[in-house]
Amino acid sequence: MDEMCYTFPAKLKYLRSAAKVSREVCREIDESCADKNFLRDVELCVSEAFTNALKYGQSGKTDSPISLYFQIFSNKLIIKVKDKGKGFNLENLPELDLRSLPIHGYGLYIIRSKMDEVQYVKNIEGNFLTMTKYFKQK
Amino acid sequence: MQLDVNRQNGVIIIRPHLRRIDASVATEFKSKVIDLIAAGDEKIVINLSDVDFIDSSGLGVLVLLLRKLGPDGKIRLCKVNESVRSIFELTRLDEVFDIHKTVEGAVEALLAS
Repeated sequence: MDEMCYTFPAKLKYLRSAAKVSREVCREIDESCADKNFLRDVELCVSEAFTNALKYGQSGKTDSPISLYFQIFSNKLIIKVKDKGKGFNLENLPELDLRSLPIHGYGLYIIRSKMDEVQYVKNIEGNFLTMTKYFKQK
Repeated sequence: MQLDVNRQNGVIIIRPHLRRIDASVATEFKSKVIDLIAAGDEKIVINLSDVDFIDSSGLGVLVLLLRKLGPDGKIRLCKVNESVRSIFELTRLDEVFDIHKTVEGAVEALLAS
Protein backbone atom coordinates (compact mmCIF):
# COMPACT_ATOMS: atom_id res chain seq x y z
CA MET A 1 0.00 0.00 0.00
CA ASP A 2 1.26 3.47 -0.90
CA GLU A 3 0.15 6.38 1.25
CA MET A 4 0.33 10.09 0.49
CA CYS A 5 -0.67 12.90 2.81
CA TYR A 6 -1.37 16.56 2.02
CA THR A 7 -2.32 19.24 4.51
CA PHE A 8 -4.09 22.48 3.66
CA PRO A 9 -5.07 25.53 5.67
CA ALA A 10 -8.81 25.39 6.39
CA LYS A 11 -9.66 28.07 3.85
CA LEU A 12 -11.98 27.98 0.89
CA LYS A 13 -9.26 29.29 -1.39
CA TYR A 14 -7.44 25.94 -1.06
CA LEU A 15 -10.44 23.90 -2.25
CA ARG A 16 -9.15 23.76 -5.82
CA SER A 17 -5.67 22.80 -4.72
CA ALA A 18 -7.20 19.88 -2.81
CA ALA A 19 -9.16 18.84 -5.89
CA LYS A 20 -6.04 19.15 -8.04
CA VAL A 21 -4.06 16.95 -5.65
CA SER A 22 -6.73 14.25 -5.93
CA ARG A 23 -6.36 14.30 -9.73
CA GLU A 24 -2.59 13.98 -9.46
CA VAL A 25 -2.83 11.08 -7.02
CA CYS A 26 -5.25 9.23 -9.29
CA ARG A 27 -2.76 9.55 -12.14
CA GLU A 28 -0.45 7.27 -10.11
CA ILE A 29 -3.02 4.50 -10.50
CA ASP A 30 -2.90 2.25 -13.56
CA GLU A 31 -5.32 3.64 -16.14
CA SER A 32 -6.90 0.23 -16.61
CA CYS A 33 -8.02 0.40 -12.95
CA ALA A 34 -8.94 4.06 -12.73
CA ASP A 35 -10.48 5.48 -15.88
CA LYS A 36 -11.70 9.01 -16.61
CA ASN A 37 -14.93 8.45 -14.68
CA PHE A 38 -13.02 7.17 -11.65
CA LEU A 39 -10.86 10.31 -11.63
CA ARG A 40 -13.91 12.53 -12.02
CA ASP A 41 -15.73 10.83 -9.15
CA VAL A 42 -12.72 11.05 -6.84
CA GLU A 43 -12.16 14.72 -7.63
CA LEU A 44 -15.81 15.51 -7.01
CA CYS A 45 -15.92 13.62 -3.71
CA VAL A 46 -12.68 15.17 -2.45
CA SER A 47 -14.08 18.59 -3.33
CA GLU A 48 -17.31 17.79 -1.45
CA ALA A 49 -15.44 16.37 1.54
CA PHE A 50 -13.10 19.38 1.76
CA THR A 51 -16.08 21.76 1.62
CA ASN A 52 -17.82 19.73 4.34
CA ALA A 53 -14.70 19.80 6.50
CA LEU A 54 -14.70 23.59 6.18
CA LYS A 55 -18.39 23.76 6.98
CA TYR A 56 -18.61 21.33 9.88
CA GLY A 57 -15.00 20.92 10.81
CA GLN A 58 -14.08 24.21 12.32
CA SER A 59 -14.41 24.70 16.04
CA GLY A 60 -14.38 28.46 15.76
CA LYS A 61 -11.43 28.67 18.12
CA THR A 62 -8.61 27.66 15.87
CA ASP A 63 -7.88 27.42 12.19
CA SER A 64 -7.05 23.73 12.30
CA PRO A 65 -5.76 22.45 8.99
CA ILE A 66 -7.50 19.89 6.82
CA SER A 67 -5.48 16.81 5.88
CA LEU A 68 -6.08 14.45 2.99
CA TYR A 69 -4.67 10.92 3.14
CA PHE A 70 -4.65 8.82 -0.01
CA GLN A 71 -3.97 5.10 0.33
CA ILE A 72 -3.53 3.15 -2.89
CA PHE A 73 -4.09 -0.59 -2.54
CA SER A 74 -4.01 -3.21 -5.29
CA ASN A 75 -7.79 -3.13 -5.62
CA LYS A 76 -8.97 0.17 -4.16
CA LEU A 77 -8.28 3.77 -3.26
CA ILE A 78 -9.01 4.95 0.27
CA ILE A 79 -9.24 8.69 0.94
CA LYS A 80 -9.37 10.04 4.47
CA VAL A 81 -10.25 13.66 5.12
CA LYS A 82 -9.28 14.82 8.58
CA ASP A 83 -10.32 17.95 10.42
CA LYS A 84 -10.31 18.92 14.06
CA GLY A 85 -13.58 20.75 14.43
CA LYS A 86 -16.86 19.86 16.06
CA GLY A 87 -17.79 17.50 13.24
CA PHE A 88 -21.15 15.87 12.71
CA ASN A 89 -22.84 12.51 13.07
CA LEU A 90 -23.11 10.82 9.70
CA GLU A 91 -25.67 8.29 10.93
CA ASN A 92 -27.99 10.96 12.30
CA LEU A 93 -28.14 13.01 9.12
CA PRO A 94 -31.57 12.74 7.53
CA GLU A 95 -31.87 11.14 4.12
CA LEU A 96 -31.93 13.76 1.40
CA ASP A 97 -35.44 14.14 -0.01
CA LEU A 98 -34.65 15.02 -3.61
CA ARG A 99 -38.32 15.64 -4.42
CA SER A 100 -38.43 18.58 -2.02
CA LEU A 101 -35.75 20.41 -4.04
CA PRO A 102 -33.38 21.06 -1.15
CA ILE A 103 -30.80 23.81 -1.51
CA HIS A 104 -28.32 22.09 0.81
CA GLY A 105 -27.33 18.51 1.51
CA TYR A 106 -26.26 17.31 -1.93
CA GLY A 107 -22.61 16.96 -0.89
CA LEU A 108 -22.90 13.88 1.31
CA TYR A 109 -25.54 12.45 -1.02
CA ILE A 110 -23.03 12.69 -3.89
CA ILE A 111 -20.23 11.17 -1.79
CA ARG A 112 -22.45 8.27 -0.72
CA SER A 113 -23.54 7.70 -4.32
CA LYS A 114 -20.12 7.85 -5.93
CA MET A 115 -18.08 5.99 -3.32
CA ASP A 116 -18.35 2.28 -2.49
CA GLU A 117 -17.89 2.76 1.26
CA VAL A 118 -18.18 5.87 3.45
CA GLN A 119 -17.40 6.08 7.17
CA TYR A 120 -17.17 8.96 9.59
CA VAL A 121 -15.21 8.57 12.79
CA LYS A 122 -14.58 11.11 15.55
CA ASN A 123 -11.73 10.41 17.91
CA ILE A 124 -9.11 12.22 19.95
CA GLU A 125 -7.03 12.94 16.84
CA GLY A 126 -9.90 14.57 14.97
CA ASN A 127 -12.75 13.77 12.62
CA PHE A 128 -12.06 11.37 9.77
CA LEU A 129 -14.30 11.02 6.75
CA THR A 130 -13.11 7.83 5.05
CA MET A 131 -14.14 7.16 1.48
CA THR A 132 -13.32 3.94 -0.35
CA LYS A 133 -13.58 3.36 -4.07
CA TYR A 134 -12.74 0.03 -5.65
CA PHE A 135 -10.95 -0.16 -8.97
CA LYS A 136 -12.58 -1.53 -12.04
CA GLN A 137 -12.00 -5.24 -12.52
CA LYS A 138 -9.18 -5.71 -15.03
CA MET B 1 -15.67 36.00 -11.82
CA GLN B 2 -17.01 37.06 -15.19
CA LEU B 3 -20.53 36.57 -16.51
CA ASP B 4 -21.57 37.24 -20.10
CA VAL B 5 -25.01 38.83 -19.96
CA ASN B 6 -27.15 39.24 -23.08
CA ARG B 7 -30.78 40.15 -23.46
CA GLN B 8 -33.03 38.76 -26.13
CA ASN B 9 -36.79 39.44 -26.34
CA GLY B 10 -37.06 40.02 -22.61
CA VAL B 11 -35.01 36.98 -21.71
CA ILE B 12 -31.67 37.37 -20.04
CA ILE B 13 -29.00 34.92 -21.11
CA ILE B 14 -26.25 34.38 -18.58
CA ARG B 15 -23.05 32.60 -19.45
CA PRO B 16 -20.66 32.17 -16.54
CA HIS B 17 -17.05 32.16 -17.69
CA LEU B 18 -16.26 29.37 -15.30
CA ARG B 19 -14.85 25.90 -15.85
CA ARG B 20 -15.85 24.99 -12.32
CA ILE B 21 -18.84 26.00 -10.23
CA ASP B 22 -17.81 24.91 -6.75
CA ALA B 23 -17.96 26.32 -3.24
CA SER B 24 -15.16 28.78 -3.99
CA VAL B 25 -17.28 30.70 -6.53
CA ALA B 26 -20.87 29.66 -5.70
CA THR B 27 -21.63 32.61 -3.40
CA GLU B 28 -20.39 35.20 -5.89
CA PHE B 29 -22.19 33.49 -8.77
CA LYS B 30 -25.42 33.44 -6.76
CA SER B 31 -25.12 37.12 -5.81
CA LYS B 32 -24.50 38.24 -9.38
CA VAL B 33 -27.46 36.31 -10.79
CA ILE B 34 -29.76 37.42 -7.97
CA ASP B 35 -28.77 41.04 -8.66
CA LEU B 36 -29.85 40.56 -12.26
CA ILE B 37 -33.18 39.06 -11.19
CA ALA B 38 -33.71 41.87 -8.69
CA ALA B 39 -33.22 44.35 -11.52
CA GLY B 40 -36.37 42.99 -13.12
CA ASP B 41 -35.08 40.23 -15.37
CA GLU B 42 -37.27 37.34 -14.39
CA LYS B 43 -36.82 35.03 -17.34
CA ILE B 44 -33.35 33.65 -17.49
CA VAL B 45 -31.33 31.19 -19.49
CA ILE B 46 -28.12 29.94 -17.97
CA ASN B 47 -25.65 28.83 -20.59
CA LEU B 48 -23.32 26.30 -18.99
CA SER B 49 -21.15 25.71 -22.06
CA ASP B 50 -17.92 26.65 -20.28
CA VAL B 51 -18.63 24.56 -17.18
CA ASP B 52 -17.13 21.08 -16.95
CA PHE B 53 -17.33 20.63 -13.18
CA ILE B 54 -20.15 21.38 -10.77
CA ASP B 55 -20.40 20.36 -7.14
CA SER B 56 -23.15 20.49 -4.52
CA SER B 57 -22.61 24.20 -3.91
CA GLY B 58 -23.15 24.94 -7.60
CA LEU B 59 -26.25 22.74 -7.66
CA GLY B 60 -27.52 24.57 -4.56
CA VAL B 61 -27.29 27.91 -6.36
CA LEU B 62 -29.23 26.64 -9.37
CA VAL B 63 -31.93 25.13 -7.12
CA LEU B 64 -32.16 28.40 -5.19
CA LEU B 65 -32.68 30.28 -8.46
CA LEU B 66 -35.32 27.78 -9.56
CA ARG B 67 -37.16 28.18 -6.26
CA LYS B 68 -36.82 31.97 -6.38
CA LEU B 69 -38.17 32.22 -9.91
CA GLY B 70 -41.02 29.86 -9.17
CA PRO B 71 -42.04 26.51 -10.52
CA ASP B 72 -43.68 27.87 -13.67
CA GLY B 73 -40.55 27.73 -15.74
CA LYS B 74 -38.84 31.09 -15.75
CA ILE B 75 -35.41 29.51 -15.82
CA ARG B 76 -33.88 27.29 -18.46
CA LEU B 77 -30.45 25.72 -18.70
CA CYS B 78 -28.58 25.02 -21.88
CA LYS B 79 -25.36 23.58 -23.31
CA VAL B 80 -24.81 21.29 -20.34
CA ASN B 81 -21.86 18.98 -20.95
CA GLU B 82 -21.87 15.26 -20.26
CA SER B 83 -19.98 15.46 -16.99
CA VAL B 84 -22.25 18.13 -15.52
CA ARG B 85 -25.34 16.36 -16.83
CA SER B 86 -24.34 13.20 -15.01
CA ILE B 87 -24.46 15.12 -11.70
CA PHE B 88 -27.91 16.46 -12.59
CA GLU B 89 -29.03 12.90 -13.27
CA LEU B 90 -27.52 11.60 -10.03
CA THR B 91 -29.41 14.21 -8.02
CA ARG B 92 -32.51 13.94 -10.25
CA LEU B 93 -32.30 17.63 -11.01
CA ASP B 94 -32.51 16.72 -14.69
CA GLU B 95 -36.19 16.01 -13.93
CA VAL B 96 -36.90 19.50 -12.58
CA PHE B 97 -34.71 21.67 -14.80
CA ASP B 98 -35.60 22.17 -18.42
CA ILE B 99 -32.29 21.56 -20.17
CA HIS B 100 -31.79 22.53 -23.81
CA LYS B 101 -29.04 21.80 -26.30
CA THR B 102 -28.89 25.35 -27.64
CA VAL B 103 -29.34 28.88 -26.36
CA GLU B 104 -31.95 29.49 -29.06
CA GLY B 105 -33.95 26.45 -28.00
CA ALA B 106 -33.92 27.57 -24.37
CA VAL B 107 -35.02 31.12 -25.27
CA GLU B 108 -37.83 29.84 -27.51
CA ALA B 109 -39.06 27.54 -24.77
CA LEU B 110 -39.10 30.38 -22.27
CA LEU B 111 -40.96 32.71 -24.62
CA ALA B 112 -43.53 30.01 -25.34
CA SER B 113 -44.16 29.32 -21.67
